[in-house]
Amino acid sequence: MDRPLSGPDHFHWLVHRAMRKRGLAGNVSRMRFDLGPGVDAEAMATVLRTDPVVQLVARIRWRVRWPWLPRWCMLEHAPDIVHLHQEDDPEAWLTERLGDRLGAEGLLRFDVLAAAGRTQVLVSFHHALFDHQGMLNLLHALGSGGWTGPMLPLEDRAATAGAWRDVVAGAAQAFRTSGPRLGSLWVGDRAVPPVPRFRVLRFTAEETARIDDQARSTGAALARSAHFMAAAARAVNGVLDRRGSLPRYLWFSAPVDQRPRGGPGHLLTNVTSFLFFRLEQAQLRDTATAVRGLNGQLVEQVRARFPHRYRALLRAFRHLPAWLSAAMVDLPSLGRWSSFGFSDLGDLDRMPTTFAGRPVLEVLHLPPVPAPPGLSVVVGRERGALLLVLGYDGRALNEDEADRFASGLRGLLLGA
Amino acid sequence: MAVQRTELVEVLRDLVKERVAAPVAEDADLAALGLDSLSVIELMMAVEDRFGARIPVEGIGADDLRDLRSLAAYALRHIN
Repeated sequence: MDRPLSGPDHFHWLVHRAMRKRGLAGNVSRMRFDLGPGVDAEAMATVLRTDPVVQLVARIRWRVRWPWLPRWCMLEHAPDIVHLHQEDDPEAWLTERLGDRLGAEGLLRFDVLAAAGRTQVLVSFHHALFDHQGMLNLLHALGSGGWTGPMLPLEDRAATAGAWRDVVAGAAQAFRTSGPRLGSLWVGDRAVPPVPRFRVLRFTAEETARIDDQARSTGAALARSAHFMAAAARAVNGVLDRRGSLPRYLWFSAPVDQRPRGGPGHLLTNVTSFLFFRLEQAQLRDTATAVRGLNGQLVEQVRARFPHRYRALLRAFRHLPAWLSAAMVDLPSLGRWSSFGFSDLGDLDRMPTTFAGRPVLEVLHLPPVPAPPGLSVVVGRERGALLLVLGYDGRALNEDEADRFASGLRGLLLGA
Repeated sequence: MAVQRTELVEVLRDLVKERVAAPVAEDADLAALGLDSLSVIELMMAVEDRFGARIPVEGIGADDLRDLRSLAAYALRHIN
């Protein structure tokens, strides 16, 4: 376990440092499991507390000894990372409570929330520790009696002869499309607490079928995500339009899973890369035009092996001083990073249908909300129905704008 | 020499099998196999390399993504 963080883990560690520097909670992702009524919350907390996989992950920390790379290490004893909250309004956690930092818990924390006869479990995990798929591995391992597979994948080395060519090409490609004039919702001088808020857009199976038809009609056959990204970008553009500040273009990234299929499973680490998209104002006027632009950029980037090159870039970033890599990320966008964050988790039916032995009624993935840009959009599909989570910071969207953004996005997805 | 549909389906089947590590039927639902957009683009790139043709991947429609046969038919229109 005593090993340096991989390129993508290190990238998330850098994002975490930048978020903490700005007074934010840090690069923490959360999943909320609604277990419905009839669950003994205290017993659930005990089950989690004594689970060997939970105890194993609770011991993981990173160690930073400048000038060496941050490394994973293990504490000798597991701290208590399970907290029980009786008679607490679970919905308030989505609007008020998620600014809490992971403290003594380290990189993983469980909050068991019991109110009005219902129980929910909120799992908070540091994004440097693992991505969404890694979290799924942990959840599948809960209650299995322990983790017997590898903790980490084979070391992510840039061993190929062309690695540095990939780094240079990846950097050129990533920074070519970004610039100081990207559209941004960010209003830095709004005096609001730096606490992320979340809204959930739920769609019925019938509405989801309509959205799928709409995606086909806008040309998003190859990647339905293109329809979701186009709608999100157009909804952001709508907010900016109301402010009277239409941008020249929007620029955003989307993570892509890089796990080899059928390979050995491992518990920890991010195995992701990114794609970057830029939509000019003229492309934001209708969804079909935006989708066409996104399709072209998707194909172009995959043909140029950009996800592979960007991973090489993330590996190389580990060897730069933190201030230099932060400056490299900040400079092209004047510190605004992107217009918004986007992630399509695909089919959430891969999620465990039980949590520590109890049936799960609903799963929400609550993303980290770096600010700026202050808006993260996560798309998922659960039991055939589309589910979107919007994470936002008050300095990007006030409550009126958040209302308008959510209803605008719903309408654009449905083709209204 | 014109590429035959059966030959292309076989090539695609082998390529998909490498990715999903399981036998693949001609009429298997591509989405159910877990092939996402990136995988489809990479498949088409591999077909391009094999047959020396350029396939306009961004033009692939929903009907072309039904199964291996329909994907092969789309590729074939641009190879021959």
